[in-house]
Amino acid sequence: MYWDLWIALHSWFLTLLHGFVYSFPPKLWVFLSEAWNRSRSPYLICFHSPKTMIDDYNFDLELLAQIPTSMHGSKEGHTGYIYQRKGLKPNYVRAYIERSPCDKVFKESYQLVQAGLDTLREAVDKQVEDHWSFSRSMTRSVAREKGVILSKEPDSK
Amino acid sequence: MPPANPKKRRDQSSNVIAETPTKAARRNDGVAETPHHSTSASNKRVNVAVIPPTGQDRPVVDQRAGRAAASITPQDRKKAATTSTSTRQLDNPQARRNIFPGEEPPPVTPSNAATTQAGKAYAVAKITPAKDEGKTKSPAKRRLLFGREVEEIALKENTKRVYKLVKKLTGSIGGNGSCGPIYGELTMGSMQKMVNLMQKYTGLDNTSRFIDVGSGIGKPNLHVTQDPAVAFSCGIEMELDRWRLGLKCLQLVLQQASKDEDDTSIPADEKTRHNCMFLHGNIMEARTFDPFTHVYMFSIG
Repeated sequence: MYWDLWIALHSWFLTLLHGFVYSFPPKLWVFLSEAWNRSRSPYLICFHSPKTMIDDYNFDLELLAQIPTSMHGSKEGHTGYIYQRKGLKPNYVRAYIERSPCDKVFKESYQLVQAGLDTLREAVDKQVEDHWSFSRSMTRSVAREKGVILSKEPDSK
Repeated sequence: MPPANPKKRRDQSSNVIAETPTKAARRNDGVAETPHHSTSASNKRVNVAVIPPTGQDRPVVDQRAGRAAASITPQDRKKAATTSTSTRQLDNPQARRNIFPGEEPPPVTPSNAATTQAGKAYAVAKITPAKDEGKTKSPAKRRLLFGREVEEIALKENTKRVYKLVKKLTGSIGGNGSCGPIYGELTMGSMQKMVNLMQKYTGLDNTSRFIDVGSGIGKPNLHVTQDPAVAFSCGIEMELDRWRLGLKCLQLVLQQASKDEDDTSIPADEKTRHNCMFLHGNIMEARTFDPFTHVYMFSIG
């Protein structure tokens, strides 16, 4: 059926709208592309073809290798692609590992892992304690305050 | 001129037929001609006289043609062997089989290979060379449903151990994250294939840093933490249930890693590793993917 989704959403006679989301939403793809082009990471591994990644979303990439894979349960097959940043030089990766900046979102986790097993275990145990042992049910506003529910748009906070 | 008498013509031909086969054989180097064919070179039909093996001068009758073949002396055989191609073939056992298709063993097909004598020989011949040449069947092969064999992917013991822990906690698929039991995730073997490919083409090793965008319960992260034991494996997931399940799995893995550290019976490369962390957050909060060398996203399903 050829129909406009907007009409479907505003129609009183539809009780259920089924959507098969096959991929990340386009908005996220655009963000990922921009973030990738800003960062200096050398390799990207994903399950979308070069046409989507390079032509559609303008990732600064070139294809290195691809391999067929199968999914758990349904055995549905998908091809995995390995890309590298365009024009990657041979010694780039070693230099990047030695002297790379760290985004603030990942900094804390990186430091935890580098601190060793005991420190990491303590931190994880504490997080599990916080998120798995609820004394009583939480309202949505309290959960949002505690960070249990995330606002999906970071700008709306 | 009076028309030719057909009876006379028959008589003439009968005279030729009456010619002794020995003479015919001598004239044609072991090949006897039928009379009506002898008149036309283009329609020449060859009646093959089979030469018996050495020491047997008994004439052999060509059953196919239904006529008496020539009796051939040893001198004839010598002469025939040097001059005629068709008679040269007769001394060849292979050629003899071609002349008598009735005596030839039936062609061996996969369907009759097990039943016929020739088939058994064929089947043995087909199997034994591989054995003789030392090409033993690789143990790391798995037979699929319709008989196709695929190479089994080698997995490290610590990787299997971690998957076992995750399965014990969350079940085999997805872990009931986000109101449903199933969401897209690779099989353990497929993930290992991806890791092998990354090792081959991108040099993924114990100095690499790996991030999974939309990590779910974090199986890829836990996998690369074990093999090839990356320096830092980070998963970021915005769905709360999945992240919580991932965190619980990580807790179990870290407990196992603590146990393995003290256990001297486990080899050093098979001990459970711990360089992994899961974040609850939106990737759109990050500005870049630094400091990760490998950015992984299972962007489907």
